[in-house]
Amino acid sequence: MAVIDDFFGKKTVQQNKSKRKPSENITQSSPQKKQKSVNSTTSSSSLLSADDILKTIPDADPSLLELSPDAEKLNYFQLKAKRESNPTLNNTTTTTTDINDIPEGRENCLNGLTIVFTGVLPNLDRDQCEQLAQRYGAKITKSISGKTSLVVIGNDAGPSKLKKIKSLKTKCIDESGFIQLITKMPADGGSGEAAIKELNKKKEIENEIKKEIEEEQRLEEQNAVKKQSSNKPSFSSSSSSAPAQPKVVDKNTQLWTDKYSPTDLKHICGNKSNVELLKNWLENWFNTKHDLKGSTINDFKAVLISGPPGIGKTTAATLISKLLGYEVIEKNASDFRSKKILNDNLKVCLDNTSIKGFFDHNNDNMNKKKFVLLMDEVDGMSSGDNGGVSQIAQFCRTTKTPMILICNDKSLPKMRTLDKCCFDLTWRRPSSREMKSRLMSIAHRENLKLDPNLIDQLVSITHNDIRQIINIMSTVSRNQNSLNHGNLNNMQNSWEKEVSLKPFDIVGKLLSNNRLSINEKISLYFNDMDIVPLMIHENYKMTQPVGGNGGGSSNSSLNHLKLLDEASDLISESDIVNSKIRSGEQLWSLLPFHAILSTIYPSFKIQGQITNRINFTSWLGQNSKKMKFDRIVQNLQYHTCIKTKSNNDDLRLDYIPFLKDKLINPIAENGNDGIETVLKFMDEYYLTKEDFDNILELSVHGSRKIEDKYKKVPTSVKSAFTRKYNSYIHPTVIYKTGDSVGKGGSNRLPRGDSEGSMEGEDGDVDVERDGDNDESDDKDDDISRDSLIKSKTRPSVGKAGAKGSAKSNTKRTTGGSKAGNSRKSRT
Amino acid sequence: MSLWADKYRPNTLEKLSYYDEVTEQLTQLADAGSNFPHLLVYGPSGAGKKTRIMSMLRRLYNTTSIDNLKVDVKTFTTASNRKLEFNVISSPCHIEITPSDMGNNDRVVIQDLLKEIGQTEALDFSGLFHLAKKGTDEITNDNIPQKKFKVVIINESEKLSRDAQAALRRTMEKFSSTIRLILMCDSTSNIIDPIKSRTLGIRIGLPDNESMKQIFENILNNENDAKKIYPEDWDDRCIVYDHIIEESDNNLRLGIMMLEAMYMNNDSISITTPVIKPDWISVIESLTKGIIKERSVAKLSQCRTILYELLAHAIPGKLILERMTFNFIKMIDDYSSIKKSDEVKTSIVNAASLFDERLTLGSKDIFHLEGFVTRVMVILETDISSY
Repeated sequence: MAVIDDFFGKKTVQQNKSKRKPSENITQSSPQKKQKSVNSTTSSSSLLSADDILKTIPDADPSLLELSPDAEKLNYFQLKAKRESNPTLNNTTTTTTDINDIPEGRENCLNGLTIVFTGVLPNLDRDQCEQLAQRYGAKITKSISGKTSLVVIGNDAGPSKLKKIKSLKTKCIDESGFIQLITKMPADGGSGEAAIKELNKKKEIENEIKKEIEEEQRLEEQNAVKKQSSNKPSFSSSSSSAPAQPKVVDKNTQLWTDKYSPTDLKHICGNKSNVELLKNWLENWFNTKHDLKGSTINDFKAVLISGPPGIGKTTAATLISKLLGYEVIEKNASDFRSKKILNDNLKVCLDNTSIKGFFDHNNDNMNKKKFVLLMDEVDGMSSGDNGGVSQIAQFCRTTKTPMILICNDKSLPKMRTLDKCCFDLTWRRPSSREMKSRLMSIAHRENLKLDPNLIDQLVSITHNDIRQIINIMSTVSRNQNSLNHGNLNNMQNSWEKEVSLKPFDIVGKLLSNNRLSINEKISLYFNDMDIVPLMIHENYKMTQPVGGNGGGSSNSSLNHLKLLDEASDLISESDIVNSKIRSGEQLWSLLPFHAILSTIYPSFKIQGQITNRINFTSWLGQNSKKMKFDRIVQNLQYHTCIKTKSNNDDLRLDYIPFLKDKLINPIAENGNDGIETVLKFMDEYYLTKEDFDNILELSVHGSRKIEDKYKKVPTSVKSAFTRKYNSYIHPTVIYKTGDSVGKGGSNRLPRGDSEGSMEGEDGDVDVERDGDNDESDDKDDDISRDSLIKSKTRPSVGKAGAKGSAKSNTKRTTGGSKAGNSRKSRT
Repeated sequence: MSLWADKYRPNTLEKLSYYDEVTEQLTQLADAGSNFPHLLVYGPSGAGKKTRIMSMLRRLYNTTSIDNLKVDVKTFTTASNRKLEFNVISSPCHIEITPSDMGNNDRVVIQDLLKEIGQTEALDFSGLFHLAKKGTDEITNDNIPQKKFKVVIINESEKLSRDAQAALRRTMEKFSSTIRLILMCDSTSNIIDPIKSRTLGIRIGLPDNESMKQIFENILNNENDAKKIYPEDWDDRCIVYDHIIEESDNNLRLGIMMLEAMYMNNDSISITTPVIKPDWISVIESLTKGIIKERSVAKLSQCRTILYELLAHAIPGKLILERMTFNFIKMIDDYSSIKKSDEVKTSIVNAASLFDERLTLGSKDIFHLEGFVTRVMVILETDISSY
C-alpha cells in the first residue's frame, strides 16, 4: 500500500514540475535570467501578504495525509528504517533535484513564517530545504503547533504529525508548492501581519545590539583611560612594577576569543541560571557551613562544571571569581597533576589566604585575600596523573577555599569519584538566540558584515560552539569583509566540525539503508577500526535486509539466511586478514582491505531497516572471560599434571566434568561426613580450595546440575568444609627454584605460581600476626624468629610437593606458632 | 581415592594392554639404550600416548625414580626484557615442558631451556653400579648401556609456533648427545617437515571396542562396589560398555571417566541407563539438534550465546566445529524432512573444512563458528524448502 502511495505521490510531483516548467522556464536557460524574470513578473505583487500567496499555491496531495494502515503499529526504529529505505527505491527511478536548481527568491522573503517540514520530500534533501528556508528568514520548528503557518509535507510523515495537521487544519503544501512559495514571495515576507511583526522584532534586536556596542566601546575607552592613568605613576615610582607592564597586551595581536572574552556577567551567553547559582555560591562561600550532606549547592565545598567544549565554562568560572574579588589559582591539563604533586603544591593553598591584596593597591575596595582553586580539564587527568582525581575528591571534602572543577564529560568512570563531593552544574550549549547579539556586536566592532540569519547556520555547523564561531569570523575577516551565504557554503565543509562518531552511530549508519559511497564507509570504519568490525559482527543479524524480500514471500527467510551467510562468511574471512595485520607479520597496509571485508561488504549485503537496538560488542567481554577460564584451567593443570599427566585441553575436556562429581557428591550426600573424603581427594590431586571453586565455575551453561547440588549443601557444611580445609597445610607440587627463599615476604606472587607457596606464606602470616603483639618488645629477636620459620617452611613445602607428605610440614608450622604463643605468654 | 583413569593407569610396558606391536616397538627402543632416537608421538587424545611413553622411560632408565615428579618454576627473560615464568615437570631422568603455555614466547623457552639442559651432561650412575659389581677388568665392555642423555618431553608440540619449531631443528642435532626429545601431539599437521624427518614417528591410535571392554572389565573386577551396580550378565554389561564407548568416541580416558561417573551417580545400572556425558558434549549435541529443527535468524542469535558460552569456558573452537559436524552427519538421517541427505552431508563437511581452516588461520573463533552455523542453516533450509 505504502509503495503505491509513494508512487502516486511521486507522479503528482513530476506532473507539477512538468506543468510548471514550460510556463516559467521556456525561454530561460541560466539561473540569473530566471531570477530576473521572476522578479519582473511578480514585482507588481510585492505588497502581497504571505497568506495571499499561500492561497495561490495548491494544497498537497491529500493522499500524503492518509495514514498508511500499518504505520501506527510500527515502532520508531522501524518507521525510521522504512523512511530511510524508501528514498533509495525512489532514487532508482527519479533523479534528485539539486538544491541549487531551485530558483532564487528575494531576500528575507519567508520572513515571519513558521514552517514545519515533515516526511520525506521526494526530490529534495530535507536538511537542505530547512537551510534554504532559514536563509530566507523563516523559522523552522520540528513540531506542529497553532503558530505554524505552513507544513511542507512529504511521503511517510509521522502519524502523530498527520493527526495534528488535521486537527489544527494547518496549510499543507508539497515540495513543488514550497518552491513556488519561494519564487513568489516578496522581499521581507510581504505585508502580512506576522511578517511585519517579525521585522519589527529584528529591528529591535538590531537596536539593542547597537546600544550594547556603544556601551562596550564607552567602557573600553574608560578602561583605557584608567589604565593609562594607573600605569603612569607606577612607571615613575619604581621599577618593581615592571612585571605589570606586559599585562597590557596590544588588543590587535590578541585572538578574538581573548579580545572579546566576556568582561561582565551580562556578556556570558546562555546558562544564566547556572551563572547566577555559581555566583551566589561563591559569594556566600565563607559565610555558609558546608556539611556535604544536603543536595543544594551551598552544602558543597566544591562545584563540578561539565559541558561540551567552547561554551564558556572556564570563562564563566574565571569571570565570576574575578568579579567577586577572588584570586584564581588555575591548574589545567598542562600541569602535572599526580597525587604526589597535588599534595605537595596544592594542599598548602587550601588553608591559606592570598597576600596579593597587600601589594595590589589599585583595587582598593577589594582586599584580595580570598582565592578560588580552579581545576580545569579534570577529565584530562591521564594515566600519568596517578591518583590525581581521588586526591582532588579528597580536597573537595576538606578544602578551606572554594574549588571549581571543570570537565567535559562527567559520565566518565574516573569522574565518578567526584560525584559525591561536588555539586554538579551542567553547562548547556547556548542557543543561537543567546549568542546572536554577542556575535553581532563582535562583528560590528570588527567591521565584518554578518547576516543575522546566518548565525543559526553557523551555530548548527559548529554544534553551538561559540568559541569556534568567533574563530571562524576571525579567519574570514582576514580576507573578506562580509560573511554571507555565498562564502559560507564554500566554507561549510571545511569548517564542519569533525565530530568523531560513536561506534553505535557508525554501525547504525552502515547497517541501515544508506547511500554512502565506499570511501565514506571506509572513513567510517577508520573512525574506530578496532571496535567497528566487532560491532558489525555483533549486530549484523539485527537488520531486515532490503535484498531479502526479493524472491517472493515464501522464500524470504531463506533469502535472509543466505544474505546472512554471505555476510558471516565475509566476516569470518576478514578475521584471517586481521590476524595477518596484527600478528607477527604486521601487514598494516591491509587495513583498507580489512575494512571492506569485515565491515563494508557484509553491512552492504544485509543493510536494511534495523529491527533492534544496536548492542555493544560482546566479544570483548567474552574474550576476557575466556582468558580468565583459560588461566584457571592452566593453573589447574599445573596443580594436577603430576597426577593426571594430561595437558590443558585434555584436563578441561575429560577430567573437569567428572572432577565436579567427585568433589561435590560426598558433601552433597553425606554432609559433614563427606568432608574428609573430599579433602583427601583434593590432596591427592593437589587441588586447593580456590581450585575447588574454579572447577565448579567451569561448567557450561545449560548443564548446571552440579552447581545446583552444591547450592543445596547447607551452609554449615560448607563452612565446616572451609574450616577443615584451612586447619592443616596441604601438599603442593610447585615451588619456585632459587628465589623462593630469597623473596620471602613478597605477597605479590606472579602468575602461574602455586597456591602452595602462598599457603606456606599464609602460615607465616599467621605466625607473624601472633607475634605482632610483642613486636615492640624486642625487634631483633622477632625478625630472627620470622626468618627462621620462613627458611624452615618453604623448602619443606617443596619437599611435601615432591613426596606428597604433608605431615612434617604441619608439624613444623604448628611448632612455629607454638613458639609464637609461648613468646606471647612470656611478654 | 584417585579417579579410576589415574588409578588403573599402567606404569610398565608389560601392563599395557592393546596395540601389542607398538608396545613391542617401544620395548625395543627402550632396550636400545644410547641409540634411542628422537620420537614424535602422535595420536588422538585419550589413546594413551603419555602412559606409553612414561612406561617406556621407566624401562629405559630402569628406575622407579621416573615417577618422582616435581614441578619447578623457571624464569626466563624475553628479548623485550619481560620476565616469564614457566613450569617444568621433572624427574631425575627426564623433563617435561609445555612451551605452548607461553603463547608467542615459546621460542625463548625452547632456545634457553633446551640449551641449558643440553649443555649439562647427565650423570649415569647405573654404569658405576655395574662397575662396582663386576670389577675393573670389564669396564671396556661396551655392553653396559650408556644413557648419558636426558629425555625432554615436549607436550602439545602441535601448538608450537613456527619460530619455536625452527629453533628446535638445530638444537635437536647439536645436543643430540645429551638430549633426546619426545614430541607429543594430537596431529602432525602443524609440525614442520624438518622436524618430522628428524624424528621417529609413532602413532598411537584409539583402542578398539574389544580392548576397551576388556579394560573396563578389568577395572570393574578390581572395584567390587562398582561391579555390584553394573549388570551382572556379561552381555548386558557389554551393551552398557558399548554405549559408553560410543559416547566417548573410543577415547579411553573419557570412557573410564564415564564408567566411574555411571557408578557414582546411579544406584543400579541397566542397559537403558543413560550414559553420563561431560557437560560440553551434551551442550553441543543440543545445539546441533536445535539447528536442524529450526533454521531461522532468531535461532542464529541463540546459537551465538551458546557458542560464546562454550568458547568462554575453555572449550577449543576446533573441537566444537568437529563435534558439530559429526553430530550433524549422525543426526541428519533421523530427519525425514531432509531429502537429499547425502548431498547435504557433503556440503556440510565441505563447509566444516572451510571454516576449520579459518579457525586455524584466524584468531576470533566465534566469527568462524557462526559462519559455519549460518552456512549449515542455509544448506539445510535450501534442501528442505526446495520440495
